[in-house]
Amino acid sequence: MANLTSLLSTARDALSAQAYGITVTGQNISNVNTPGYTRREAVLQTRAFGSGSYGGVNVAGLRQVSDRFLDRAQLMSLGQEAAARQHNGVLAGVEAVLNDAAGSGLGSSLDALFNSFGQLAARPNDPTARGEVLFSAENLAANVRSVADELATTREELLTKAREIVQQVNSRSKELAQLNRQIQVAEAQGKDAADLKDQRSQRLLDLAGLIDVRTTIDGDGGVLVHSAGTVLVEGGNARSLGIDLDGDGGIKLVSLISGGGGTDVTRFLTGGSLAGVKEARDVDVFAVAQRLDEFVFDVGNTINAQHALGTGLDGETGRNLFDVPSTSAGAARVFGVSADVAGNPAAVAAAGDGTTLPGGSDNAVALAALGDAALGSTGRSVFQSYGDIVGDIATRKSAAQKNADMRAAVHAQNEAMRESLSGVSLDEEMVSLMKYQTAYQAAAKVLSTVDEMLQELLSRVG
Amino acid sequence: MRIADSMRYMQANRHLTSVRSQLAKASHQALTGQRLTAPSDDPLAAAELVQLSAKHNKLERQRKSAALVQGDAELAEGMLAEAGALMQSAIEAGLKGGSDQLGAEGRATLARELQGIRDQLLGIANTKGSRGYLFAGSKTETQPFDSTGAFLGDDAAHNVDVGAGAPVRVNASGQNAFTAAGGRDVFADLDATIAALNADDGAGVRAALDDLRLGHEQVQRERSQAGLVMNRLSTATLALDRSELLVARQSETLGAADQVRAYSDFVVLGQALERAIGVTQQLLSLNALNRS
Repeated sequence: MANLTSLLSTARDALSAQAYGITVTGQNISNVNTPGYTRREAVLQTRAFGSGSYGGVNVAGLRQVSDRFLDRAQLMSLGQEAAARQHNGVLAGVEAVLNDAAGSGLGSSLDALFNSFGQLAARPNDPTARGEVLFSAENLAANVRSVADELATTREELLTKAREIVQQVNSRSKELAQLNRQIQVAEAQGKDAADLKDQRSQRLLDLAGLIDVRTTIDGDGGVLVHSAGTVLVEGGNARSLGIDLDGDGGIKLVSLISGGGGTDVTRFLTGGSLAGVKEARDVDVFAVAQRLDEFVFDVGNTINAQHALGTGLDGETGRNLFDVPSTSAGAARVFGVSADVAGNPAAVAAAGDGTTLPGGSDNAVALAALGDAALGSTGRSVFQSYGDIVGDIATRKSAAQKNADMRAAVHAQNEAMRESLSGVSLDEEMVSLMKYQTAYQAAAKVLSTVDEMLQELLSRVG
Repeated sequence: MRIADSMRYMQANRHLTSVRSQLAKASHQALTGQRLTAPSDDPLAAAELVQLSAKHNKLERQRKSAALVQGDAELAEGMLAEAGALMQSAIEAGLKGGSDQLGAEGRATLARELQGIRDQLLGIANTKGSRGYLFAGSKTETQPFDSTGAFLGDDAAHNVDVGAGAPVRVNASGQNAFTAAGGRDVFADLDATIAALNADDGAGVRAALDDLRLGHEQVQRERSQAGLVMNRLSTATLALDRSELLVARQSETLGAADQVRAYSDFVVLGQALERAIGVTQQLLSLNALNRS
């Protein structure tokens, strides 16, 4: 049977345990808005009465309320959402470059060129009409180069961004390896490592936004991080990644090996903003730039072929209107008005042949009709082909938007499930606060009661 | 389900963002009258709109071309009408000059009158339009008839696409109107008549009359051709107007927002946003700590 002194110990333990509970509640309230924070619970256990102890309460430690499955699902969906968001963002920029409704794009320049051919047909020997053809051609070429440069710049910027992301990945990996070491040391020394684990969770979330992340907890409490098919962090060690270019100019992700060299792991990259950058740069922007090159190559050559058939006011024939390279690769970036006609309106070949100078307009009529003619091997007209490019970008952007929305919804769901378990609820913390406060007051009452009893006993004995 | 505080904030953010996004779209539609804010809103429609815009521009171009050549066509028709009237006057002068009642002095007077007609006709044949000499064919910068009436132009067609299926010849042929290629060399015939009058050769004048009549018919034929060109240009312009209307309707169907619905959506979504803000404020203020 417990004596009064042991009751004092019981009350002391209770005061200590309830105060600990209030401390933990305070921690939770303090971190209600801290990203990655996992709520804690004070783990209290009884000291068994009658077995050498005195029936008090003991603080067994601290428990972080989490579920590894939910944590992993959140990391994975965060990576996929980041990839989709990045991809969608890049395509929004590309779409804006060729948004004719908003005043960008090539539609109005193409219209202006074919309009100038039409006006030239009506006034074949009018210097203004001839100058208008050259001006429209220069304007179209400048707009084509501007769009092509924009796409090329986007690809360059995305390469720079990929390098920056990989630097951040390497930095986060090192921090994770260091946190793994600190957690192992803390736990080996019997210290509370909850704060360090929260920091590690936060770094994992940061990393998952950059690259796909899969985690496993090893036997020592360290987290094993797999990314892009390679072990990025194992215990206290971190592997570095690097960015290179493959033979086609695409981004190559390399898992670096100490001592030099590395393994190409690009095909294993599935998430994080790095995956979005890679897909946008090497799939979509590349495809759009390639289509633009082919379009410009075909339009330039088709117009040149017709223009060369006609005769300028100076009686010369066989001149090109545009400078077009011999292959479509990179054609848009060097597209320009041919030096044979630039600055020389008389060189514009409006007449079908030299005998109809200066009023012949047959070639100008034929040039104006090219807007409806089948282009290259596609069988599509100039404007159909241009519409196809606009439609292609729009379809890519639309699909990217839907994917981003879907990934965002999935991630929101996973985040909600994780937060539902591990997030802080101020309602609950308020109740906990009252619970521990009431228990603390009761323990204090026990203490004062025992004290009164002891005083009573001492007064009677004394 | 256990609701953490972060979940409430996330939910509030998502809902407000969603309503704001819908409101932005509705306001764009209400403001601009356009259904599409970006091609990705409807990729098929965006591609189709590019082609419709090109079609609209082509029609506009054809209409402009028709308008540009319309003036010259009218001028050519007017000049040929004038030339026909002059030829008629020449025939009447020839009729008088062929009369046995008329003496040498009378014929000399008629010869001067006819010379005046010839000079006027030469002036008409050398009329300039907006793109150069009207009756010179492709040699628009060279006077097509010299003082002797020799033709220095050609019969090249000035073809223009005015949307009539194939390019339309819009210039009148000076060669067919005034030279032997059209049947009679009207200047040579006038010169022959003037010479006969000056020579007091009544029989010669009477003999030249048939040629003058043929020349008159020739000029009238070419005038009819010029009239046909004007008709074709007018018909083409009307057809272009109709086509433009159709294309505009198609573009509107594809790209224009339903104005009433757009404004109604804008109002409804504005109210929804106000409600969402109110509910969010209330929702976020409800927690146990606020009651303590």
